Amino acid sequence: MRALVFERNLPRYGLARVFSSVSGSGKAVSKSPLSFQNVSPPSVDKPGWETVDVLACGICGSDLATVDAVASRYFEDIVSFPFIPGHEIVARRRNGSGDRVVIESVLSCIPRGIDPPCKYCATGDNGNCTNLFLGSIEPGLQIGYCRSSGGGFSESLCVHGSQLYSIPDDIGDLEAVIIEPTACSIHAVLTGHISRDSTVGVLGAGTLGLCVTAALRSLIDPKTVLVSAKYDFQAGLARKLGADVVCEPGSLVRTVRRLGSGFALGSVKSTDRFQNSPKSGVPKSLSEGCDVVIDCLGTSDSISTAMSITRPKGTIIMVGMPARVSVDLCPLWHREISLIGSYAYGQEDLSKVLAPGFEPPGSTYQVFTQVSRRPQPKMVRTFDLAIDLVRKSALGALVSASYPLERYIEAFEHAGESARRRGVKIALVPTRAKKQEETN
Amino acid sequence: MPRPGFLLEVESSSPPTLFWHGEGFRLERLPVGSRVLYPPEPLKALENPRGAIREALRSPVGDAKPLEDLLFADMKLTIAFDDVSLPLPAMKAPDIRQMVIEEVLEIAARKGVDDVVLIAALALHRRMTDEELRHCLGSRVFDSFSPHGLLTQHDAEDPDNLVHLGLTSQGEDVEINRRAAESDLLVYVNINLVAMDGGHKSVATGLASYKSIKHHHNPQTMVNSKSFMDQHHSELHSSNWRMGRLIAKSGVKVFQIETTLNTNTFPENFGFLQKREWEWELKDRLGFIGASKLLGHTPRRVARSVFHSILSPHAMTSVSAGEVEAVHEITTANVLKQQNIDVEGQSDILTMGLPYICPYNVNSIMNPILVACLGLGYFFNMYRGRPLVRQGGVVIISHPTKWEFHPVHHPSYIDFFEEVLADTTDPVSISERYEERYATDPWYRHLYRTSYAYHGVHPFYMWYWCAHALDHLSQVIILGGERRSVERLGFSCASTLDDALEIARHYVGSSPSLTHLHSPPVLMANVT
Ligand SMILES: [Zn+2]
Repeated sequence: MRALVFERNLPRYGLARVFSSVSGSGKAVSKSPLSFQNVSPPSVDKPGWETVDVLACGICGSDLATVDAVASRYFEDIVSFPFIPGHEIVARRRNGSGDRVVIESVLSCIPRGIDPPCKYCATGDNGNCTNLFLGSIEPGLQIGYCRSSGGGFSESLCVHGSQLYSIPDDIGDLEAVIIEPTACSIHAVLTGHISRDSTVGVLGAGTLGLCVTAALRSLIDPKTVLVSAKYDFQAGLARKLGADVVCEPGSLVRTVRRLGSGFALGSVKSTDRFQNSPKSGVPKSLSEGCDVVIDCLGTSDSISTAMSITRPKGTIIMVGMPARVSVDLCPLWHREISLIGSYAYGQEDLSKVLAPGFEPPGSTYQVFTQVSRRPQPKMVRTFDLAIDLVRKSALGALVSASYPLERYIEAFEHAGESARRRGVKIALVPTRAKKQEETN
Repeated sequence: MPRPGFLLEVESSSPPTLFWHGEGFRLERLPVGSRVLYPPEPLKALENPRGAIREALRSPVGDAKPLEDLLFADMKLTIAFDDVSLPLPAMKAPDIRQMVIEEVLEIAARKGVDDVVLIAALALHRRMTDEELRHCLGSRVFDSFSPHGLLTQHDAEDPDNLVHLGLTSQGEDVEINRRAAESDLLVYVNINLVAMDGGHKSVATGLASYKSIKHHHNPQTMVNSKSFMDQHHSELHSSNWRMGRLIAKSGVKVFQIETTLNTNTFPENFGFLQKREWEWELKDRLGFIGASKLLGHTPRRVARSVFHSILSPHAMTSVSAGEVEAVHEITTANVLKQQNIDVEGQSDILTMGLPYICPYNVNSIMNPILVACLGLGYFFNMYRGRPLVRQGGVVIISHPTKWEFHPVHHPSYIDFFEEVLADTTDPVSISERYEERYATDPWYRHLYRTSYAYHGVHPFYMWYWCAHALDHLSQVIILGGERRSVERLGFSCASTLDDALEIARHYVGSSPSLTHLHSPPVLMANVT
């Protein structure tokens, strides 16, 4: 079987880091410890496990961070080398049904055969599982970081039946790649911090920013959704998906101030007569601001910006995977801002869905009875909401291009600069090599 | 004798024409047959300006007594003066305001007046810095008033220091500076650079509140001011005159002092700017080449500093004092004497080169909104009779029009450009949908009152200034402008004059007539 394999190789890791910082994201892939190899297919001979054939797999920001070697070292103890990356997986079952499925990639107590499960898994919040390094398979927080299961950038992999969701016929293979990131976005939006009269700022208009925008409009329908988008085509997509206000990153702080009519502080007291520094005119912070800011970028800059545009006692939700950042937390402290993380998915509390007229979808969850992980009453699996949202908002259109697996170098380079090339999500398609389709 | 204005018809042998282009210049070959308007040469300056001032104070015009007779001990005397927006560029010391105010103070001292307050008549402009106040008033005046808090700047947002005097016959609120209104005498010291300035506008606008000013600073008034440089056909002025008369009727005693300057605008090393090209001598040619070379290699920021440090050799050509309307009649005649040129017939295209400066960016940045205002508000309106360009014609403006703003001076301009113009460029729609929010924005109000910011509503006024031109023209083309900011203004962009003319032909036909407004200095076309 052919697959992209990520090996523990510290010298190459260091090289990739240097190279990506010089050449830009995605460009380091040829220098990274990632290689295209013939490997024996993974096999997990445990109850509930099966092999599925990959139809497509999206390249996630966290995959880019891994090949660019800028991912946080936090993960070191919850991955097992060598692993096959890729967790935005669309696959076909071999069990005779031929069902197409998307995969909830977290490797929690249930796939690991841990019974009784940890207290988070017991209630369905398997994204918070505390046993990611125990049980019948190797350590790994999710598929795509675990040696045992294999990953999405290959021809096939092993999955546990509890991780599968059937794809409705009206969502194509490539389109279905967007379901996993949509689930992450929904999970962030349903943290319960966003009320209907909120002004919500969304930082970034890539895959996550756009999916978050769609999720906000569909599940909460808050008073104002403001999106900062670097490129015009992103701005257009954000508007289409429900943003009320879209602005360039450079005018974000001013735009938020206009919405709230508060004061802006800082940077306008300079004595430079002609104010020529590029940042002059960008106020540092606001007296008022957004009720909630969803940071889809996770950089030092985006977190600082988030703090400057969040109102006192407001909330920042981090959905973009951050790494080591350097930020001044004084505004967080002084303005009593809550900074909360949002990782992956699991289940959602329907009482937090506030949009009027919202109809909860039926479950496509592959019922797995071995361990009690049935959704609680009033609870719904994030993936079920995601599949529903992808259909309603036609989010499949965000998958802009796909490459055959062996052209992964091009694909990663494209993914690293997809916005500049008017793209959103880039996917890899194994074996049955398809021609690269650009569907901008 | 200075020569009068001149209208050149371009021939194939004519030298190229100089266009201002922000902090630089362009030399352009205008099509054969184009008309170039040159203003009259600078009038002779008064030989003894201080003597002339004293004489004006002694022999006022209209129904007014000599200043000396209006002053008495124990009285409250307020002297208001035009702010940093005049003259352009700032004049070499001593500034005309310094000379006039020193003479007024001298008489006041002689008469034992000791309650004297000076007010910079800012209207909704930014506050002046101490350095600017010192330059305008001279160190003697500045040092005797400023440390005691007696040198003030009008604050149109200070509820404690405004007084509502009533409504005009048209229902316009008249609300002005309390100290000025409650003084026994208000002396107003004006500089008249263009015909729009002065008269009742000095007090009724310069010392008024937003509530009052908004009655005449709006798109309806501006569209009906044809032009606002021509007092008798300007709704802007009718409104100010109604207000001025109400102010007088309310018992506010105004002693108006107006002055005019000649158009000797730039110092010797920039002499080529105000010469007719075919009369350039070697030193003008060298001056032009030197300046162009230097500017070509200079970062814009440095070029800006160089230009904004230029002090003009302007000199006074007249001064008169007394009753507002009588004084202003004399002033207007003197302004016209300096600026008038008679022109027969309109043309399809009007071209103009805009400099680095306009009244609202002294020591600051000429942002795109100010470019529009200077071109379409000021230069387009420098006419009596009818516009230089026909209805449905095209204006071509040469200016770099960079997306640059001074964040301290023009904070609301940045938002206006980002938010309002991105939505619509229609002045009426803009005023209906956005003006109130900007005018009452607490942050802008705070910056206007305590920092050096123009009032939140000011960019709206700049855009309303353009309303008559926008209504009249079919297209505006910015030559050498930055595309994204030009497009935000709703105009077209061209990199060469030929491209600009090509675009213009789409609107005005294949063989258009063209008039070029040569500046500096400013001129006023009497178009028949
Ligand atoms: Zn668990």
